[in-house]
Amino acid sequence: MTRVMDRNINALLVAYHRDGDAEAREHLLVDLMPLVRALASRYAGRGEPLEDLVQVGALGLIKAVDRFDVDRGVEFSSYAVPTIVGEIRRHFRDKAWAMHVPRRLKELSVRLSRVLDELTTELGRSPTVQELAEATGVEEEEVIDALDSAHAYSTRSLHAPFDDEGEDSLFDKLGAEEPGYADVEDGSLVRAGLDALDARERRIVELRFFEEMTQSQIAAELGISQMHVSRLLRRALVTMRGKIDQVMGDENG
Amino acid sequence: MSCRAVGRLVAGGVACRLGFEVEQMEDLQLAIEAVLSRQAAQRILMLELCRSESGLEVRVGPFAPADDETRLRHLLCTLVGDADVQDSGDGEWIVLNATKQRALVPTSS
Repeated sequence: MTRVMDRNINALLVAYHRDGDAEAREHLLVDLMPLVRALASRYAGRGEPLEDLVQVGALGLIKAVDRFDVDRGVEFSSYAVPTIVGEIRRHFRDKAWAMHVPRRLKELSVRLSRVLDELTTELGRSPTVQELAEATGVEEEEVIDALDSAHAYSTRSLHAPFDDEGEDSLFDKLGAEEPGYADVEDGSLVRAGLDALDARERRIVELRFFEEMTQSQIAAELGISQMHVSRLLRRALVTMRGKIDQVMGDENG
Repeated sequence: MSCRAVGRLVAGGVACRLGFEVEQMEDLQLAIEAVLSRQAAQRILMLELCRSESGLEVRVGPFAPADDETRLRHLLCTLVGDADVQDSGDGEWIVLNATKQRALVPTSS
């Protein structure tokens, strides 16, 4: 935002807050919508329509305009941007799940995660979808939906505590660095991919692909659910692919 | 919907019908996503699923030749037990042999 614009905006803010000028408020909201659009577009392509994000961002803008304190001598933009972005992020955290995944499915997904681990222990192997359906008393289709919903947009922060129940981070559980990936012919690419991961994802990839442990073995080793391992593994592979493509693109281009 | 998502869904659905264990099904889905992220040789990619004695044979292609074979093979073999890259006239085809149950004795890779 340019200084000139900021000055106009400041004048409007003063008019609104000191004199209760409703028209000034309206002007502010209209004038600042391009800012909201720009911020919302940064979050596009994550499973939420851009228009929805703009709407949510607009709510953030309204909050920023209404709550801004003209007497504090702070630039409006430095207050508005975090407020708008915060609103958009909150939308992802609170609503993205619920919008795509019905509540019933979300609850089933949580229940399945527990049953999956229980059955794995009981049977000494991973259960089939049919067995899961019998154990939870729902249709196989619902089990499939719920399993897949676990992979829907993750509402977890990348650096959230390691487990849903515990407060440990993976750093508490990390073992030694695994040199195994040097054995893969293009080890440097794999290494670049691994470097793009955070510690817990890297550990899980190493255990799965270099120590060839199964998902449930990894789950037992790290004290988390198999579903969680599956989710982290999938995300890790997507991240690694992106990184490897980027490195290869740099080399070729 | 991306072709990765379609491949994931179809393979998961078929594997489930064939009585795959959840973990094997998810590993197969990961493998298919990895394969489908390769560069296609033509506009149309084909995903063939064939019931086999031990589970499911999956053929995907044709892909443009890439120098990721060792890396890909390592990844796929860990996930599904057996994977091969075959060179056909129209490009590379990836063949996966996915088993529906975890082998009690791990096969050497």
